[in-house]
Amino acid sequence: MKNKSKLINLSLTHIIMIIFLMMLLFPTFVMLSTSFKTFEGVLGWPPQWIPDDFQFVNYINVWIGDYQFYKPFLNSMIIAGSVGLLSLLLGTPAAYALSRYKFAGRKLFLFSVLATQMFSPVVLLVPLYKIVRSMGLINTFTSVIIGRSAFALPMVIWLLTGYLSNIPKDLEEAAMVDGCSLFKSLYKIILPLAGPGIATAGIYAFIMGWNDLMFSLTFINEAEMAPITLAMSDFVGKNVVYWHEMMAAAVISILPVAIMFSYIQKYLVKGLTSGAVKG
Amino acid sequence: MRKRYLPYLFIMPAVIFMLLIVAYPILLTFRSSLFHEVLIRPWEGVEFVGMDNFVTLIKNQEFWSSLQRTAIWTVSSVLGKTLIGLSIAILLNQKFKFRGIYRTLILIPWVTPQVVSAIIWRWVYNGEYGMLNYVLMRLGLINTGISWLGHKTTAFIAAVINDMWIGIPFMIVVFLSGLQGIPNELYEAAKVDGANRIQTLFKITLPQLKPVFLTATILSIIWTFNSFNIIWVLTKGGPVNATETLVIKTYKEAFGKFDIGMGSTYAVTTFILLMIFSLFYWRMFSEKDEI
Repeated sequence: MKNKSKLINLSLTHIIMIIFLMMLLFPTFVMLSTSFKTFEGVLGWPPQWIPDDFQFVNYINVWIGDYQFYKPFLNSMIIAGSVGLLSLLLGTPAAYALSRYKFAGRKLFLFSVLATQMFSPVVLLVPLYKIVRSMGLINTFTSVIIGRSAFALPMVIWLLTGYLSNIPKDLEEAAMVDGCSLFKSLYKIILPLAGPGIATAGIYAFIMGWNDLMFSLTFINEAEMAPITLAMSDFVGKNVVYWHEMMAAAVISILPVAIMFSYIQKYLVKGLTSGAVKG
Repeated sequence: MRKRYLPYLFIMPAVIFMLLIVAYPILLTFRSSLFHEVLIRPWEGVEFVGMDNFVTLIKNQEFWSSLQRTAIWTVSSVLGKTLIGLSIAILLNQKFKFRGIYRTLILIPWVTPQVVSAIIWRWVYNGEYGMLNYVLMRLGLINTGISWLGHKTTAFIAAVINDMWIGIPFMIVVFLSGLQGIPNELYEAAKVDGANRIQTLFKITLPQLKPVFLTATILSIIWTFNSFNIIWVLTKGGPVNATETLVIKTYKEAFGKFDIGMGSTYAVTTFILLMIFSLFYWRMFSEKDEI
C-alpha cells in the first residue's frame, strides 16, 4: 500500500518534471536545431525538428562571414573583462573593510551599495551621456566599462563581504603578530584564501558586462565598436534575418557565460541568499 | 590610532567611484527634470521651468498607462516565476533518480544572456516560420499561424513569458537551497503527529521558507520592474506602446525624442518609486537581523 503510493508519487514527479523541462528547453532546442539548418531549411514548412544534415559551416560563416561575429565577440570580451577587473579592484578593499571593521558610516555605505542595486541605470543615463559626450568618450569601450562597473560594483561588494566574513579574523592577526605588515598579511594570507570568492564576484561582474545593452546602446553607435548584445539586436532589426546564422551566433554568445557560470553557480546562490541578507 | 582611518582608506576608491558615476549624475537628473531642454531643438534653449515637467507628466495619460502597464508586467511575471519556481523546487526537494540531471538542465535559461534570449524568442514567436505556431498547430490549439509580436495583447504576454523564462531558474535554485535548509527533525515531528502532506506544506515548509521567499521575491520584483533588455530587443515597447514599461518609456523620452527635461522627469519618478520600495525592503530586513 505504502510502496504503491510512493511509486505513483515518483512517476508523477518525473512526468511533471519532463513536461516542464520540455517547455523550458524548447527555445534552447529551437536555437540549437536552427543553428544547424540551411537557409532554405529555416524557411521550410513544416519546420524540421532536427535538420537532415548538420550545417556546422553556419558557425564559421557567422564568425567570419557577412556578420563578422568575431568582432562584436572580441569587443564584448574586452568590455566584460574590464568590468570584471575594475569592479574587483574597487570592490575587494571595500568588502574587506566591511567584513573586518566597525566604523562610523558603515551602515550608510552598505545602504548606498544596496540601494544602487535597486534602480535601473536609466535613472542616470542622461547626465552620464552628456558627460561622456563632453569628454569625447562616445564610441569608446571606456564609457561602457565605467557605466556598467558602477552597477556591477555593488554586487561584487555584496558577494565578497559575505565571503570574507567567513574567513577567520585570527589569521591575519596571527600573521601580524609574527611581524607581517597588514598589507603583507593581506596579500599573503587573505587574498589566497579569498580566491574562490574573488573569482565568483569577478565572474559575476564579467557576466553583467557581457549582458550589457543599455550603456552600449547609448554610448556606442559605430558597428566596429558594438558588443554582441548591440550587434545581435541590430542584426535582427534588419529586413532579411539569416536565422540559422543568428542562432549560431546565439550559441556562441551563450558559451562563455555557461562555462563561467557552471563554476560559480553554487557559491552565487549561497551569497545571494544567506550572505546577502546578512550584508 | 592607525586602525581608525584604515577602513576609510579601503572603501575610499569605491566611494569616490560611486559618487562620481552614480550619485553625481542622479543629482544632475533631478536638476534636469526642472528644465526644458530638447537636444534636437537647440534653438529652444535650456530654460528653468520649475515643476512644470512633473505637472505635464501627471496630466499625461501616457504616463498613467505606462505605470499601470509596469505594474501588470511586474506582478504577472513575478507571480509566474514564484509559483512555478516554488512548485518545481518542492518537487526537486525529494530524493529520486536523475534529480541531478534535472537540476542541471534547469539552469540553461539562466546562463542565456537576456538579449540573446530575446533574439531566440523572436525566432520562436515568428509569425511565418516560428516553431511555436507549428507546435500549437500540431497540438490543435490554433488553426492558423499567429504573429505573436504583431498584436498588442499577444506581444505583452510574449514578453512576460520571455522574462519568466529567464527568471524561473533563479527562483527554483534559491527556493531549493531554502528548502534544503529546513531541518529534517521538523518533518519527522510532523510525521509523528500524523500531519498529512498538505498540512506539512502549509505549517512547516512555507513558514520556514519565509526569509528566503522574501529575499527572492523582492529581488525579482526589482529586477522585473527594471527590465529593459528583453522588452527592447523583443518589441522596443511596441506594437504601438503595448509593452512600454516605465523604464522603456524613460529611455525613449531621453534617447528617442532627445527630450532631456521630460526624460529626466520620467527617470526621477521611476527613481522615487524604487527608492520608496528599497527603503521598505531595508526596514523589513534590518528589523529582524542584526546588521
